Formats: sequence, C-alpha cells, structure tokens
Amino acid sequence: MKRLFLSITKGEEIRFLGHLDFLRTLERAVLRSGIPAAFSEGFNPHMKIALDAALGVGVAADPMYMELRLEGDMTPEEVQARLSPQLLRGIRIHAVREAAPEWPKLINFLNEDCYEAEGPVTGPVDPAEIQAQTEAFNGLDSFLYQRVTPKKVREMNVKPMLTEPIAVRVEGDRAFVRFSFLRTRTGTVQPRDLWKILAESFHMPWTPGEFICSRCGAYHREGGLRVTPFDEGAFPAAEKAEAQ
Amino acid sequence: MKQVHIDPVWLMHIEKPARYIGGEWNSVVKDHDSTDVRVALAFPDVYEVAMSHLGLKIIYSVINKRNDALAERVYAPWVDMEALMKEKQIPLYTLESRCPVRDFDVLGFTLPYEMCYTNVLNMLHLAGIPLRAAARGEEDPIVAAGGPCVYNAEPVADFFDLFFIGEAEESMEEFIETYKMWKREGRPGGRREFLRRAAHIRGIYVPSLYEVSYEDDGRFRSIRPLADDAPAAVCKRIIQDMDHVVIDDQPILPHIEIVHDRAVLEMFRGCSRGCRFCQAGMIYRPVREKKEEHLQEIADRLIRNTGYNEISLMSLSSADYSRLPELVDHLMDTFRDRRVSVSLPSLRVDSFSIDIAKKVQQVRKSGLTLAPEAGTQRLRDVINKNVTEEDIMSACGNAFRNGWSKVKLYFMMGLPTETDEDLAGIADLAERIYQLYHTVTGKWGCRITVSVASFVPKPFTPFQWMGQCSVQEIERKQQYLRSLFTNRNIKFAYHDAKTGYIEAVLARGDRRLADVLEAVWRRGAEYDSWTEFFDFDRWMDAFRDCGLDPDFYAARDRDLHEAQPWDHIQCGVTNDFLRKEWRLAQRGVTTEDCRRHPCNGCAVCPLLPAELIDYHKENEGHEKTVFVYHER
Ligand code: SF4
Repeated sequence: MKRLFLSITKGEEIRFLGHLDFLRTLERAVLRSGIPAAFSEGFNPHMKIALDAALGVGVAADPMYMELRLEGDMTPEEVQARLSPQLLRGIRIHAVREAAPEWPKLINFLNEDCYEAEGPVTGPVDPAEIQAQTEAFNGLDSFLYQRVTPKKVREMNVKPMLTEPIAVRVEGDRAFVRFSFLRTRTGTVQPRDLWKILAESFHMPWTPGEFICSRCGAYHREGGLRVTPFDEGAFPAAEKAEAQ
Repeated sequence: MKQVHIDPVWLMHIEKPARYIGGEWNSVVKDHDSTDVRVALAFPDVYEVAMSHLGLKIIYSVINKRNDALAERVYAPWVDMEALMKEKQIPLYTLESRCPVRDFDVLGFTLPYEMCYTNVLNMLHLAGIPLRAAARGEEDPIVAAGGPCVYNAEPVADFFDLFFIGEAEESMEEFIETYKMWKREGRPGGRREFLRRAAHIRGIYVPSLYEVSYEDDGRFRSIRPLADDAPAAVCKRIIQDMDHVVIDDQPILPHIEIVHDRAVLEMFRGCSRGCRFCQAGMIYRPVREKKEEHLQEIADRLIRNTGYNEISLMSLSSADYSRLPELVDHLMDTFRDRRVSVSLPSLRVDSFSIDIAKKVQQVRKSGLTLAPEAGTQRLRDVINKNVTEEDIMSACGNAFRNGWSKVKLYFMMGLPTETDEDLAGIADLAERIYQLYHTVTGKWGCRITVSVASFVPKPFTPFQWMGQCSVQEIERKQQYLRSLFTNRNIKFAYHDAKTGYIEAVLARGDRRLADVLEAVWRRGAEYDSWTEFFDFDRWMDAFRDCGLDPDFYAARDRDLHEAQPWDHIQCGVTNDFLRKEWRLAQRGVTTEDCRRHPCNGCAVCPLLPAELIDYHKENEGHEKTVFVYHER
C-alpha cells in the first residue's frame, strides 16, 4: 500500500469548516479525482486519510499536512494533478511526497504549532507600551493561568508551552500576535487563552474572545531545531535506508 | 456589485458559521455586472434543511445553465446570526457573492410548508424589502415563490408579486426571457407592467391582478381578475417529458452535515395511489416516469460530480417505479466497486418493498419505516390507503426473517369518521407486529416506534371540506392512545396538536390572514416549524389583534359547493372528482390506483393535457383511455 504525504492549505475561504467537515470535503474531492485511495475493511469502509491535527472551526492553516494511503499505484505528480482541480476555493496543494511505511504518523511526528491570532484593536494603541508589555511577558519564567469552564477550573503554567518569544504588531485597527505552542498529550494552552491573558494581564488593546486564528506552521522540534515532513532528512533513519 | 462586509471575528461567536460563507463545491459564481437577470433563490429555513431540498437545486441549475441569468442562494439565518446581522447592520445576502438580496432583480422563495411563513416575512425584513408587494418600489426585486404551498398561496398573497404554480423548469425560462426583454426595453411601465406581462406566462399567478370578495358572514365569495388579460384561472405547469428536462446533476455539496446528505435520483413525478388525505398525491399528478437507462446515466454523473457515497432513489412512492428491481440491480452493479450504496427513502407497505430494501441494505439493517396511516381496515379504506392487514404483516414478517428488528410505524389521528376503536387499532397493530417478531425469530425485543401525527386537511384533497378535529379532542385522543401502550418495547410519539391547528388555518386560509401573519411576526414569531420556537399563545394573540377567528378556517365543516380561496388555481384534479372521493370515503369505498388500473376520471390527463407515463410492461404499447368525471 502506497503512502503519501501532502502539504496543503486550509485557506481563509474555508476557515469555518470544522475538522470533520474539512476532512469530508477532502474525501469527496479524492473520490471525484479518481485517485485509487485505500479504504478500511468492514461494513462501513473509511478512506485512509488523515490530517496532522484536528483544527477547530475558524482556524485556517497554511500549511496543513495530510496523509493518504493508496490501494493502487499512482505517482505523487499525478495525484497532485488529479486532485488539484477537484479542490474547493481555499484548498491548494503545495507538494506531495511518497512516505516510507516506517515513517511515523504526522500527528505523532509533529510537536510544535505556530499561530497568528488577529483581532480588532479596541483600546488606545501605544506602540511603546505594547513593546514593553510584550517584553515583560516574554521575560517571565512562568505565568500561571486559570482556565475556567462551566465544568471545572484548571490551572496551568503557560510559559513552558511556548517555544519561542511571542511577537505583537498592530496594523491599522487590527492587532496580530505570533506565537508557537508545544503539542503535549495532556491538553495544552489554547490560542484563545493566550489572547485573553495578553488582554487582561498585559493591557494589550483588544478584547478577550474577539479574534481569529491561523496556523502558519507545524514542525517536529528537537533540540531547538525545526523540521517539516517535507524537509530532506526529516526522517533520518528511514531516508538513509532508502538511499542505500 | 455591492458586497456585504463580515469580519470573520464576528462569526467566531456564531453556531456553525459555515452556514453563512458559501463557496461550496458545485456552487456557481457568475459576474453580476454582465448578467441580464439576477435571481436570489431563498429557502425559509436553516441551511441544513434548505440544502436538503431538491426543488430549489433544480431551479438553481435551470437558471445557471443560461448565459443571460444567474442564481444564488440565501437561507434563513439561525437566530444567533440574525441577531448579529441586526447588530452589525448586515442586510440579508446571498452565499455565492455576498451581494445584498435587495440588489437582485428577482427574489424567489421556495414555500415548502405553511409553518415557514413567518420566516419569509423575517427574511424580507432582514433584506430591507417592504413586506407587502403593494409597498414595493421600482428599486425592489420582484418577489416570487414556488413549491407545494403556492397551490393555496392566498394567506401570503399580499407579500408576493407572483407565484409559479406547478413544476417551474419551463416557466422559469419563459419568466427570465420576459424579464430580460422588459429590462432591455428600459423597463417600460415599471414593475406593474412587468407583472402584467408575467401573468401571460402559463402557470404564473400574479395576485395583485385579482380582486377578492367575501360574503357577509365572512365566507369567501369569489376571486376575479382585475385586468382583462389576467387569466380567470391559473393552471399548473408540468413537465411532460421527464427524460429531457434539466436535472441537477451537479448538486452543491454542503459544507456541514445536513438533513439529507446524499445524491438524489428522482425516478418519477406524481403519485396516483389516491390516498385521500395526501395533497402531494393530488397536485403532482399524473405519474411520469424517467426511463431506466436514463436514470442509470444520471446516477453515474451524480456520483462522478459529487463524490457522494450514497444515492437515494427518491419519488413520492419509490417502490412504485415500474423498473425498480432492474434499476436497483444495475446501480448496485455499477457502484459496488466504488463503495457507493443505494437507498430507498420511502417504502411501500408490502413484501415486495422489503425484497428491494433487502437488496439495498445488504449489510447494515437500519430501522424499517412503514406508514399504515390508520389502525383499522375500515379507516384505511376511508382514507384510501390501499394497504391490508395482510400487507402489513407480510412486510414485517419478511423484514424480520431478513434481520430487521427495528420498525417505525407512521399513523395519523383526527381522520374523518375516526373513533376510539380506530385508535385502539393502532396499539393493537403495534402489539401484533411485536408478537410476529417473536413468532418469526423466536426472540423477544423487537423495537417498535409508533409515531402519530395530527391530521391537517389540505386544499385539493377530498378532505378539503372537513373541519379539523379540535386541539382538545386531539389531545384527548393522544392521552387515550398513550394509555393503551403498555409494552415497554413499543415507543409512542405524537406531534403537537397546536402546531397542526395553525397549519390547518394557513393551509385553507384566505388573504385576510396576511394581517395575522404580519401581526404574529411583529410579536416575534419565526421558525414556527421548530417546536422550540413555536408559541401558540402568540398566534392566538395575533388572531385576536386582527379580529379573525382561527376556528373559522380550521374547524369549520364547509359546504361541498362553497367557494374556496383557491378556486382560481387549477391543479388538474376537479372538484367533481374530489367530491366523489369524499362521498366514497364516507362509505369506506376505495378507489384503485390508476397507474396500472383504469382511469378514475380525476381529469388531470385530459384537462392539462398530460400523459401518464409508466414503463410497466402491461402499460406499454397501448394508449390509456382517460376521462373527466362529471357529477350528475
Ligand atoms: S386522469 Fe385518469 S389516468 Fe390521469 S391521473 Fe387522473 S385518474 Fe389517473
């Protein structure tokens, strides 16, 4: 069974599709394209397709990584050529590559997500103040945040989940924050938490909850270095074996 | 073209925002400035319901296949989106281009059920279009409607400029031609002149060209054309050649899960079984089938163009399709390797249907749905549901032998001549089916759901003259029936009697109800077909505001020769025939299906004229003798 990795976009036009809706859209495009996708066995066969993360309603992504298994043979080039015309506005294919059977699943391989959050500016904007507050936040070793949901209150330390210093900028009446989160197995801090923290505890000129978010990168991060599934040598052991 | 601005940040607070963004696969975006006729097609319910509707999709294709016209969609915003639109002053807009609906040439509503009328008013209001046709100016779009409710559109006549009566594939083309000409000539005479011209198209009804009068006691007296050139009666349109009509073989794929998310293959139109309570069975006559080879071709295109993994064989009574076994075999062959399943939404109550269902549901046996409609043979004869006890039992027996263990049974209450004995028959029948499962399988635990709707008399049916059973009496019947269900494996569900009462008022209402509709909408009514929004007291207050008695419309037994608000609309079936059927109903005498039996004289074939098309071998090769039944 052939295994393919695809690098695609979940663009602005379809940011409001939830994970399952986006997946269904892709499945139907694959079916229309005539690509020999593989299916699970059983009464209710499922296409062997997976995305690198379950992004929520409202979150756009560029790139988004996708895995597709084929039951017949087809080159990555042909897959791209057949699938591209079947995609909704907002979905584009950057690249397709064959993946070796022993390479990990994308969802396991990737452990860092970079985001940009964007929302309307509500208070007065003082660039120096924003700069100072950003530095203050970046300089902290720890920041304890209580996430309150109707069911429970959870306290977490936000700082160890951030892999890089955050960056804030204001353009016209919109504010933008770039940040990178570590993926952990035990529920992580969410973009909305950070947006809220910055508004409430660091006087940023925006309103909690009033933002949209786009993922602008997903990486395998190790020893401070970032690798994507499409980088040469991303899966060293396996790729070496192939070269020999 | 103007476009509305919606900050995506706002949509983050909205439930299922994908309802409002457009851009779905197979949706069509054209250039507004270079297109002659721009039509916004509206459906007065939420996205998931609206996107499941076949009629609107067909008209969307008809219009978008033309070079000189474009059609875009607009659905009722859910209440949270409505609040946002009001707060941010976003006018109602179409999904394809986000252009305000007000800027289109034509706004065409589908009217699928009466309880959506308040949503129509709400959408007009959100669009910034005057509610009443009389108040609209030259800048406003022509507001039109089609769908089952237009056969008696009088309660909403004041809100619309015109109605498409019947199947609109062809009349829509003529309408667009007429509009284009009028526009190219520089819109002579304004919208009044356009409406006058539109009234010349067969099947188009322009209510403002008619005058209505009432008797002193409030009964309807007459409806007459005001202008010489408006037809005295508007006859429905039908498509005679079902194999050459525009079909929607590129249906729009919804962004989110919807009520019916599958490819739909329409096998035929019309149904001639003649159930006396059923409006669809009368207004969509005669039966016209598509050829089996043609259906196979369409099915293949549908799947290629969508990527759907299920195709549903849809028609009023799907099992009546003359070549159903062959069609199912062919489709299953074609699609087996493509992992596409075939489904049948409506099953006839007989063993043949179960054989077909068996074929299509080879693996997963979901619940079986059957509609005996009444609990005793006597009452089934009254309503002409030509189903015997034996049919029901053999259908269930066949199903149980083949692995089904869940049955859903649909009934009605409040039918003419109904007694408590007939209701007891419902409970009895359910219990016997439960026992049958044990006899057949040796096991207990068959799960049965009995769902009982309250009957709403509809225009163009033999029951159009009868007073509806009162809300109190329906509620008593519901309690009585509930007391008869003691078996825990049989679940009993019923519909809200009050909703059925309002529906009955609107179904046989006249133009005076426009005031009630506006009043109830001003009091906050919308989404009345959703139980969580329906507020009976609000409706009763609105009737009081307007000095109208709802019982006059719902509960009154009419004289068989009394004038009716829909007398000027012709669906082809005559009052003479309906009166005959009403009398036969009183005596419990049934009428056979004319599809493969002799004509009953309903008149639709000779009057329209139209031809019944059925590819059953007995029907092939000779012309059917049809006649018009006349009362002595
Ligand atoms: S005119 Fe006769 S054949 Fe035609 S639909 Fe009516 S009853 Fe049937």
